[in-house]
Amino acid sequence: MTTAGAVPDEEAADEQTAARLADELRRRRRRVVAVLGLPSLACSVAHLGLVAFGQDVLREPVPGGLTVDWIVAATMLVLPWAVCALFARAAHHRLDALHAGAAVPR
Amino acid sequence: MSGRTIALLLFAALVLAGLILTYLAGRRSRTAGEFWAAGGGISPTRNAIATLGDLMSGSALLGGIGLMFLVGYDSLLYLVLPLLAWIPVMLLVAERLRNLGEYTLTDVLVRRFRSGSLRTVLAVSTLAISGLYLLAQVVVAGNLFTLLSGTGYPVAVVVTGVIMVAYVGLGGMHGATVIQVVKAVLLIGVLAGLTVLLLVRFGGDVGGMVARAVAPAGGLDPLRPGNLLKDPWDLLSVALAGTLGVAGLPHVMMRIFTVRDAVHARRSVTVTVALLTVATVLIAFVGLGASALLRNETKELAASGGNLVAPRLAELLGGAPTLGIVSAIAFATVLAVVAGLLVNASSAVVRDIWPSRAGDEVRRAKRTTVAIGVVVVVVAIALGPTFNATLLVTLAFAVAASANVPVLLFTLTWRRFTTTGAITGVLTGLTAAVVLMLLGPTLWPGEHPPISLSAPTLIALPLGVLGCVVGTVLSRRAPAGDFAAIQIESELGRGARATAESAR
Repeated sequence: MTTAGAVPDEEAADEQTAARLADELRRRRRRVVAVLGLPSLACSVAHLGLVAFGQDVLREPVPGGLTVDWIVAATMLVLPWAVCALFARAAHHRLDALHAGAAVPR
Repeated sequence: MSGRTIALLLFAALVLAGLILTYLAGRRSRTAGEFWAAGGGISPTRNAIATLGDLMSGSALLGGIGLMFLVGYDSLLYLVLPLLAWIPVMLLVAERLRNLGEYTLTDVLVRRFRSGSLRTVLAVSTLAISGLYLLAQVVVAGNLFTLLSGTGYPVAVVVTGVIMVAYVGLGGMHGATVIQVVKAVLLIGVLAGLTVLLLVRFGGDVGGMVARAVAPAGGLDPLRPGNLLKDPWDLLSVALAGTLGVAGLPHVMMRIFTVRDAVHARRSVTVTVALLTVATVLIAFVGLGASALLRNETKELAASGGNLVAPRLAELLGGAPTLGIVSAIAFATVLAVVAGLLVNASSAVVRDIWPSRAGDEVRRAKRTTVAIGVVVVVVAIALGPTFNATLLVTLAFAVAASANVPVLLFTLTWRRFTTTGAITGVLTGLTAAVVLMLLGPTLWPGEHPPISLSAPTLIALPLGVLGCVVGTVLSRRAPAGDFAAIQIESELGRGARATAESAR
């Protein structure tokens, strides 16, 4: 009787623990996504805005014989790599550590 | 030995090696999980190289270099967009897809709503995207093989079709992965080889090469933006499709399910972006090299749409052998891309349109692969060698961005989202992309098309979002428990309960 009665309680507790862990992971993920995603979005919008409507700005010369457009293009080439590498690093420290820690019996 | 003979011999060797490798890899494809997703057993690095193989088609190699030669600065936008596309994939979907899905993008979307109608609608969208993409690649492959072998276009398309069906039929996802890894390595090797030859040619003076490349000549100022896309709204539409479309491309997202878990998916995406960046920089460098050396041949090379710039540069730098190597590898890259697409198209038919509980999924998958291959070959022959393949790719990206991406994002994040909203969203996005393309300047038969945008995503994507919102608002609320379960599983994976148990 006792065992049969305990099973639903245990299941409910398991589900609550999983929900709490998922909530915390989601909260942390949102923060990392906001910190990296919003600047990336701003850069992408600025890049497109310049290419579509600001071609005079892109033609401005910069020291070294180049123009602004080449600097912008080089930055946009490297940006995704940098963002993904930073995200992977942040996720490893902030999400994986919590996930792994939660899986270890305390 | 002429460049064409070398190219044919090398191509035959590549195909033979590919068939042996796919046969060996395919011996493991006995279950549905092995056939569709390689049993989730691909390592992150290998998966990343295969994803690069999926993304970098022959048109990316030949077209990217050709575009840099023909339009200069504007081509950098086309090179940068596929890279930018991986930021939303990494930040918003990769890990959650892996946690929720089984073999395909559709599995993830249906996981929340468990609706047969939604599965069918998503299968139609998947078939539309994969079918358009497949046709584009087969038309390009047919033209390349015609150039390579001197045979007629129909024969070239049939040869392409037979090889792609053999790759997938023999090896499933294991076979497609092997082919894509080999092809990606060859492609990077070709780019690196051309880069070294250019450095030798210019005595290491990169500045001198760039100065020559960007000097205005023959009526073209390579540094002036606006050589390619003159209308800013067209440019924004292309950018929107390029940036968001990748997250909705079922054959690319399918690769996320071939690794073990979400952490491996994240690692795989990181390596993919790193490799893609290196490949993009090399393409830009080789394109600049071509601009520096081949400017006096602009008129002849422009007639081929820029596709022959890379082979011509290879011939100039290394003679007939280099020409043969570049041509054969360019053709091999197209074959690898179509193998991945064919796996995806088959999955839509076998798993979503005609599912069976008989346990014979692998056999049905192989038969479907052959059937789709035959249909694609017949349609590609009917379209003919002069059909604009870029148009098909533009439409595929537009459908992916407008039909799949809004539904995917709402499924993962919007509690109120309903099955009806998902179905209306996919149908609205898909229909809008196709209709707007038909009404646009690229396909409209008359002189004054009703829509001036040549790429439809700028209008079709908001319509897809609107379809999701209106369908949801007008339908009955779904039970909140389904969304809560998805939220937990998307963070913890399908074994969420086991994790919770260990935590206690």
